[in-house]
Amino acid sequence: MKKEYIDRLTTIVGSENISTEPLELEVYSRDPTIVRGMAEAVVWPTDPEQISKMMIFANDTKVPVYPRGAGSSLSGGPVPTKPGIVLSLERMNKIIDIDVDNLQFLAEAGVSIREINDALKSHNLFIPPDPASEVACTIGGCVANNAGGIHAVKYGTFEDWVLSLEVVLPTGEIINTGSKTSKSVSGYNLKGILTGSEGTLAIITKVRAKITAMPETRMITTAYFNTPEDAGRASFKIMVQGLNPAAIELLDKTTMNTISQYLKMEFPPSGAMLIIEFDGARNDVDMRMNKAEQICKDEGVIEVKVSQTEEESEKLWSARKKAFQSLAILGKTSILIEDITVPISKVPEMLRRIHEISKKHDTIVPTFGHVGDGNLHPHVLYNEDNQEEYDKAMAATDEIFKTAIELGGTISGEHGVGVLKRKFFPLEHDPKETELMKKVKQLFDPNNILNPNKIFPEDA
Amino acid sequence: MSFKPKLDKELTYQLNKCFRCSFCRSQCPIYESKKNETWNARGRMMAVQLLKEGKITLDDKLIDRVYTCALCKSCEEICPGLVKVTDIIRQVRCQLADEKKGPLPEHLQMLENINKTNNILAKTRSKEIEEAIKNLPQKSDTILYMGCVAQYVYPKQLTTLFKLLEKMNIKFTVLKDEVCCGNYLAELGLKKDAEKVLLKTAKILKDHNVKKIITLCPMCYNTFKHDLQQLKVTSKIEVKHSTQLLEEALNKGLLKPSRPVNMKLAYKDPCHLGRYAEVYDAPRNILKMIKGVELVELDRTKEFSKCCGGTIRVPYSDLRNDLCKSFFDDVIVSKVDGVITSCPTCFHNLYSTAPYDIKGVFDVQEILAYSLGMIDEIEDLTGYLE
Repeated sequence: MKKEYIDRLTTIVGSENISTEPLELEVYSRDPTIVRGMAEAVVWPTDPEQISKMMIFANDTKVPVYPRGAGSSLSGGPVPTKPGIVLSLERMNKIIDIDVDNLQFLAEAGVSIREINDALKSHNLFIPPDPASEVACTIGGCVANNAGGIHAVKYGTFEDWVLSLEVVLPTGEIINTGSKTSKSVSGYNLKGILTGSEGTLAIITKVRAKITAMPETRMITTAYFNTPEDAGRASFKIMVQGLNPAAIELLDKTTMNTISQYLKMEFPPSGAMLIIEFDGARNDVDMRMNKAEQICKDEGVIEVKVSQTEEESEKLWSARKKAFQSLAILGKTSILIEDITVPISKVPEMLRRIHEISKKHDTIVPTFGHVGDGNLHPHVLYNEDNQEEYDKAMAATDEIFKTAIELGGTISGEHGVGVLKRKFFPLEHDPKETELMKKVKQLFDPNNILNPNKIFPEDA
Repeated sequence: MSFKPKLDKELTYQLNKCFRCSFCRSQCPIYESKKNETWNARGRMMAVQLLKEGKITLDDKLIDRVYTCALCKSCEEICPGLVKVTDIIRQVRCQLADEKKGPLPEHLQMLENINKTNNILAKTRSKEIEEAIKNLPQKSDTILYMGCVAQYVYPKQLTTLFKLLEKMNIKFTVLKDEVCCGNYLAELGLKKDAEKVLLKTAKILKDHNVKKIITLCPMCYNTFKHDLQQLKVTSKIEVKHSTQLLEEALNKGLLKPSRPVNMKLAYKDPCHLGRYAEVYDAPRNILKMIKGVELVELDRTKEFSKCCGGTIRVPYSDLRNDLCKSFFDDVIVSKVDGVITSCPTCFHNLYSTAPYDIKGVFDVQEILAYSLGMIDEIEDLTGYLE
């Protein structure tokens, strides 16, 4: 990047909030995925006005800007795929207000979900969407990607909780959109468009979101089945009977085995397991849990076990959250993490088809995920240096995406399209719809400087 | 500067396990201060990988990344990949030391101190501790390893422990020629120097026919509990931290604290006693048996407790101050009267940085000794004692 550009940025954010050091450029050019990029500068603005000045500068000079929260994306979303500026929001990290009377909070974009929930704990309140990376991921990043998580089956994703946003447009204007009220139909729902826009339309600087009371009780049961389809069927029936679980997670046999080895945990011999959580008033939770157990029995459960202590429940959730990393046991160098989502009635079929695809392409595809809302994470494994394995993995991935669409699903339930799923985008969106989306992008970002090269396939 | 980290097979595997998930952001105390990813475990692991690949070169800024890791293991508690971050950092430091590219001059001063004076602080014992030592038995197969910080900076903690051990009828002595355990040298990657110091200690212990070591310092505890056990001559020596012994004595009724200490206290888990040795309950159980003490758990407690920055104070005292400030921010929110710990180094860092809102920083043993009527006053306790 030209020295005069660096000087200009330094004037805007201060010398302590900019770096062009090789280590910083490398670290801020990666997220957990295989996607690589190369930043030319990293900046850490401390207020929206600095971001506004930066965007005016970037818009004038046509230098791309890549907003970044915690860099925990699983889609390559924050990676600077073209040379440009990585704009980290980690120094805008204050909780501005907790409004207990109106059940909402206002926070800067760089606060983590864990920090928000820690601050809400003493009020017996919480914000329910909980991505697996909640300890680190930021509220700005979660809203930008409309993240979900384990409890989305009951509580929805971030779009269900956002009330209003302060954002800086790519052309530098700072706007507020949305309302403090839980209902508002005044004008177009711009916060709805910005939520899940993957940092391509505007830079979120503040989030006002709803919060709710902590449930009186949480109860967890584990149910072991012969096949993932059996587990998927039980999950579907729990949902359609209106039992309203707070979470239903499925782990297939391969994942159970890797967790078992990785964490030295014992599971009964089975082909899949469900972790089912109910929350609410004690009597109500007991009643719904009993009904869910009966459904599991009807679907041929091998064993069903209610966690007796909070510690036992924590251990199970902790194991579930380590499922991804446990796959390292399988000794493959690369993993394609998918987050396809299908209508809940199609979950058993999707699980069966993933198994078939895995066999057909002779590729290991451990699968787990939020089966209650149809959001599955098939993980396609391969060795990077083995061309044959790579080709098979790609073929399997292609087929998994096509199958999800065939069953009426989506290519991404919660991670976003980012870089990794761009080429599958046309499977789901017809040209007219894509054209409209691109017009929206152009309206917000006429010079295509904000997080370019994401979502749409022709940029790939 | 040319430098390519050569990790052994196990640590290469560990490094590859880091998939840059970002979870360590939530725990790393240095990251909390810097708000820059290159100062947390993910950034440090990437730096090691980038150095290996030759994509970046070693410079002073990178050296700082290597030596500001407090080795507190906070990141390892949250890491879904269970990556042995601190072992990787230690091995990189060892290589830097071997290649004479590290550690920093201030660190080497501490090595020189140990070589010249047997203690890391290059201090001499106070009259108070010399007198107390004179009254101990000449010989015993049980040794209280005094440690550098308590011996040379907070002798009262030691003399109090002497009294407690005597009350428990434990016949013990100390080594008049005690040498620093060398833990800090090992942490700095000065492996050969640390081994030399440890071998010197092992020889002294063998010469004195020592069968049991009691430590006050959690770093000494780890060195003796783990490293000393690797040496043939000292592999059978039993090692206990003082809080473990005191807890046992209280459970057996050998100590009966009765004088009330009406205080609301937050216990500060020392990294080397907690995350390293998993001794979480003993100090808490002692405090629970003291009438009037209300023990409060901070939001970040036990395996997630915050580090005081003891291992990086030299030369990064500003960072140490930031770490302590962050700890005290949590303490203030918890509305306690004071903080209590069981590590002389934590005590020192907290005592040196405590804000005015905090009424005192205390040591577990002193509170216990007061409650037992063995001492009549503790600094900072005014107003809480009956």
